Amino acid sequence: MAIILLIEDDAALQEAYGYVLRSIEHEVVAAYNGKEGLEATKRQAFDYIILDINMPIMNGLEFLRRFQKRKPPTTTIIVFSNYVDQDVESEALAHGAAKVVLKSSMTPSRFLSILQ
Amino acid sequence: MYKSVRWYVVVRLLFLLAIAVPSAAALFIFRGWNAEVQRNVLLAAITLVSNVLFYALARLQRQNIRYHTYLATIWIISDVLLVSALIFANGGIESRSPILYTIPILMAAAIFGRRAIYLTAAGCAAMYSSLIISDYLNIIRTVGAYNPELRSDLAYVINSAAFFSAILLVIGVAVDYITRLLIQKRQQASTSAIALARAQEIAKLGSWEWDIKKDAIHWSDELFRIFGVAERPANFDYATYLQLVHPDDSEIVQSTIKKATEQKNRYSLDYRLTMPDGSIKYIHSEGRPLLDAKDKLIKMTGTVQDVTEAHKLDAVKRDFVSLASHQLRTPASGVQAFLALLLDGYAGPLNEQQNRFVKRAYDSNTRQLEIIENLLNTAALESGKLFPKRQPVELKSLVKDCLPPHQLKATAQHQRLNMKTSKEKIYVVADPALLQMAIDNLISNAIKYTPDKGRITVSVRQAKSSAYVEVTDTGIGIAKQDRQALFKKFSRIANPESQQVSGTGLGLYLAYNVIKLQRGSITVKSVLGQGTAFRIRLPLASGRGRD
Repeated sequence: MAIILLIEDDAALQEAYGYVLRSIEHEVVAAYNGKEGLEATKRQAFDYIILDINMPIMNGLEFLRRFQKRKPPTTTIIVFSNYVDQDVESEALAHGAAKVVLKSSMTPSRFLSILQ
Repeated sequence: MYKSVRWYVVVRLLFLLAIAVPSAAALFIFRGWNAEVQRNVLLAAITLVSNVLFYALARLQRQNIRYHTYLATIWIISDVLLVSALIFANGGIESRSPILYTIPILMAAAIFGRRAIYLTAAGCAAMYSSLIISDYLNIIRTVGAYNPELRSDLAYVINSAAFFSAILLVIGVAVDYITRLLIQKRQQASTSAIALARAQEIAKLGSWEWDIKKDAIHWSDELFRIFGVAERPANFDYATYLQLVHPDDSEIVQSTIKKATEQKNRYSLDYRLTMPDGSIKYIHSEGRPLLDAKDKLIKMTGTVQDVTEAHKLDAVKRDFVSLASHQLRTPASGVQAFLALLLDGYAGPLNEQQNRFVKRAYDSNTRQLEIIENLLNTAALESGKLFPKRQPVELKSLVKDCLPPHQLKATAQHQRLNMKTSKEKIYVVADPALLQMAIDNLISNAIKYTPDKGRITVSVRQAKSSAYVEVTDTGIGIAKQDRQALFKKFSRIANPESQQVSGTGLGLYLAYNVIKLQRGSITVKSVLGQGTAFRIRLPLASGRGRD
């Protein structure tokens, strides 16, 4: 049982992935863009942050840049996006992401195996 | 312009030798070293020095047409002044004067055309008028006492003015007539050339010819416009041409032309140019060899077309495809997530019928996502945004990871999907994601075009300096005439069996180009009705066994 911040702008994916994570007793906080994500991290600490890259208002890379300094060592960030070229991947990893996962190769239950 | 100026230098030298030097010599012989001779020698010396100076200036900037226009104008004016000074030095107007004035008139005509003749003639007329008026004023001033001698002086001035004006007019008209005749003749000869030039301008298409032995290139005017070259270079050779090509494309241009000349073949190539203002032009070039009777290559000839506009439209189209695909992907991913939730039992167990239906929906959705992925990759590939990583990849484990998703599909069609490989690890330098995409496309194709209960084998091996991935099936096969177009975009084979198979015609196109980007190649062998084998060849990573 972990506390997870799910930053994803698509409501359908937010619901589907949130549902699966909650079904195995994780606590999930939803944020729909990087800005909401940052605010959530000020309120509480998370074990995992699952982060989309292409989002309105504040994108995932910008979130990483701003969050990097405050990131507690116990928080694991997993980037979860369709926009993964070499630049995005290396920039995400350089700014504190632990792993980059291609969204199109995922289903909610396959995603669970990555968290473990 | 440079040639006209050089022509004038020669005429001036002839003039100097033929008129100024003999006249000074004659004066010296008959009258001794007096002031008149000294003036003549001085003028000849000034002409000689200015000649050398102008010639040196003309050589300085061969390319700049405006520079030469200014130079020629200054030169003509200084010549008119010099000639006038010479006439004054020799005691006013006399029979030689019109001959001297012919020189600047001829030069102006040669350099600036007919309008210049009238300008020069007007300048000369003004000069004459001032001479005549000054003579006339001299007579008026001394007219105090009526003197029949002076009256005859007045008559002399008026007569000579009329005489020289008439001669100048004749020279002007004659030069004008000859110039017009020459222009007309040139126009007649070049009516078709003008029509051709206009056609080239409209089509933004230029033609060229390259004499290989002399290494001399001839371009049509339109080509200079396309390449943004203001004036024809004096010696236009292959090296000069290469400097105009975009630095990133220079290598492909050189290798293509080298291959075409060596094999005496036609070529067709798209490349870029950097304009003087820094903008980029896209051009399409076609070339073919010209051979002599002994089959020896003498020239290459061809066309170059400015396709920048078409390229921009293409970019707009690609951007649209890319944007539309991105937008389509998000909802399609949402559908997939929820179907997967149903299939994985998150909403409770499904009965057999429900499970079958949801499975169907899930498969269709997966295919939809695959198509979107292929469209996005095609758009990225064609706009040059697909930059493959270059890292060591262990080929056997990469291929092994490709298989599971296909295994489901193959099992559903009662096909056997196997992998065959040797024990040792095989390392290539490649982009794992792109390589996987290419192999996925080959396997998914093999499954599609192989009937139920067929067999698909994926083998990985290495030989010499290459690694090979071979996807062999026992499918419907590909006819010989269809193999040519196999790797082209949207190519779908027109036989009844393949019509039943869905596809975008992008899979093989992408696989082919993605492997090419990684310095490898794809070849195909097939027997109609028996099966097909696609083979990917990749260069081995040097220093095997690295991690």
